[in-house]
Amino acid sequence: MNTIRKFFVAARIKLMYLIAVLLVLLVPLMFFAFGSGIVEKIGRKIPIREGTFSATGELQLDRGDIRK
Amino acid sequence: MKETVNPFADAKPRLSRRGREARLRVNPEQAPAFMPGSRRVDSHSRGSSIFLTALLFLFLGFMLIGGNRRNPRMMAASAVYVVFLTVLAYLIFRTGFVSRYRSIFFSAYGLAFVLGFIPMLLEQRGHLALTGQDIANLDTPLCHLTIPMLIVPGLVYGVLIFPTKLFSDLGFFPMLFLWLGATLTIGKGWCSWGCFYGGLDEFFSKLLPKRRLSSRNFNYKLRWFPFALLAVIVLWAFLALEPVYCSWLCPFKAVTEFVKPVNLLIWIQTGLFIALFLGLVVVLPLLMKRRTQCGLFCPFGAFQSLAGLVNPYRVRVDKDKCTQCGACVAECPTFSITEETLAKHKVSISCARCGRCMEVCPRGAIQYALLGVPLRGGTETAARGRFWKEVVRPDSLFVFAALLFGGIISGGMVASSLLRILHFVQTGSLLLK
Ligand code: SF4
Ligand code: SF4
Ligand code: SF4
Repeated sequence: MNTIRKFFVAARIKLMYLIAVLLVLLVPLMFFAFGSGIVEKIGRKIPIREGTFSATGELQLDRGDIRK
Repeated sequence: MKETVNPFADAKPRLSRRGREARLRVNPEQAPAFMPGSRRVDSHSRGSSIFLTALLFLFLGFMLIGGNRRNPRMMAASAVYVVFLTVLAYLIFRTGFVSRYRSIFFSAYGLAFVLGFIPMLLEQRGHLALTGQDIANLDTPLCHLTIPMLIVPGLVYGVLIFPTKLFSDLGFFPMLFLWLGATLTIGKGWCSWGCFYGGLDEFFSKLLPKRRLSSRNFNYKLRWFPFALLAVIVLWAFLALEPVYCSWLCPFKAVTEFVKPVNLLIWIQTGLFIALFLGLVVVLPLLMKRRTQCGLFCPFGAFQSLAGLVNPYRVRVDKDKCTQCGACVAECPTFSITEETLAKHKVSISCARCGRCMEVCPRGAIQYALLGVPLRGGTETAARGRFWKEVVRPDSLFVFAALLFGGIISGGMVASSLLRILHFVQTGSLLLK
């Protein structure tokens, strides 16, 4: 039992270190991705649109657009 | 002879004096076991410091200098900035005084933002105050502080309630992805390494050498105010279909852009922005030597405290070493350590991973830690001389990721501000075009 516990603790610690190293690598990767147009590609799949605003800054919302 | 004032003098390890007021309150009998001259912070050996710094230099050089190869002036300014960051990185790793040198980077970033943003708007639009036409044209740059207010209306109505474009440089999606990336990689560390507004708060909190307003009787429950404000603005924005924080409460409107004051209501809003900026970002940080705007007001900071939990880095207190002396309570810039959290050997969820508490703790009891990984026992001595163990220590990995993130995100802003300063010296104008 003790050995199994020790194994899982060691595995968890290794996994956390691996995640930490991957997160370091994710930083430059993320900024590269910005230049590659991926933001636009993913963004277009997300159903959100720009608002229409009056000159006084009020959002002109078409209430028919409320999602069911 | 004229006496020079070092704005970062506060970062010096004058531990026993700096933490005196909180220590007396928490545990008057307990004298800290700090021996003057002894090392408490987690420094790195020369070899691992050089290795980590060189790696950072390569990454930053590639991203910032390489990324500007079509513009020689920006390339040169970026090279200067990369050298500046490299020196700071070496000092951070070698000395272990993370907050002292981070503070220099973070303040420079905040100042560069103000110096660069206003001239940039003037160059792009020809005027600073936002007009009705700019709003109707969706010509308003979006900042991360708006994100919590956009989520619910976005989900319900499928529309952005902020007058910005979806894909422009300072539009919705670039900012959303940037925030997502920051949250994954450094979590709440965004508030000490990535946010340009926080840099201003930090700058003013470091400017005076001495604290003028004691926090001896400070009510630490006030640190929950940003969470309450977050709930209010999210609900209010949903009901009003308007980014209400931007219209009424954002202190940083005073140094970015604001709506052209054409009627009394807008004059009141503008007055509020200026009063909040002067009070929370300038005067209180100057007097208390704390980041009062970030610790006691900013709702995005509260949002990031919650969202940042997905990131595996934490700041933890070693219960075997902590003597509850309270030195860290008096020094935490974001009010994240209190008597109650210390009693549980914890820091509050609002901790911005700045590293200040680690510098002032006389026992080396506070560490950057990885979730699920036991705290390191013997501070720096346990790993000293063991190169790879130092390189992959949780604090090394966190500081590396945070400096890399902060360096890249601030790079363009700082480099262009450097060019503007040069231009100002030559022509008397900050505008490049
Ligand atoms: S609390 Fe707000 S202003 Fe301060 S650093 Fe965080 S996001 Fe920026
Ligand atoms: S708890 Fe420590 S690391 Fe966190 S914000 Fe306070 S001083 Fe900084
Ligand atoms: S963590 Fe360090 S500074 Fe804070 S109370 Fe414990 S021993 Fe004192």
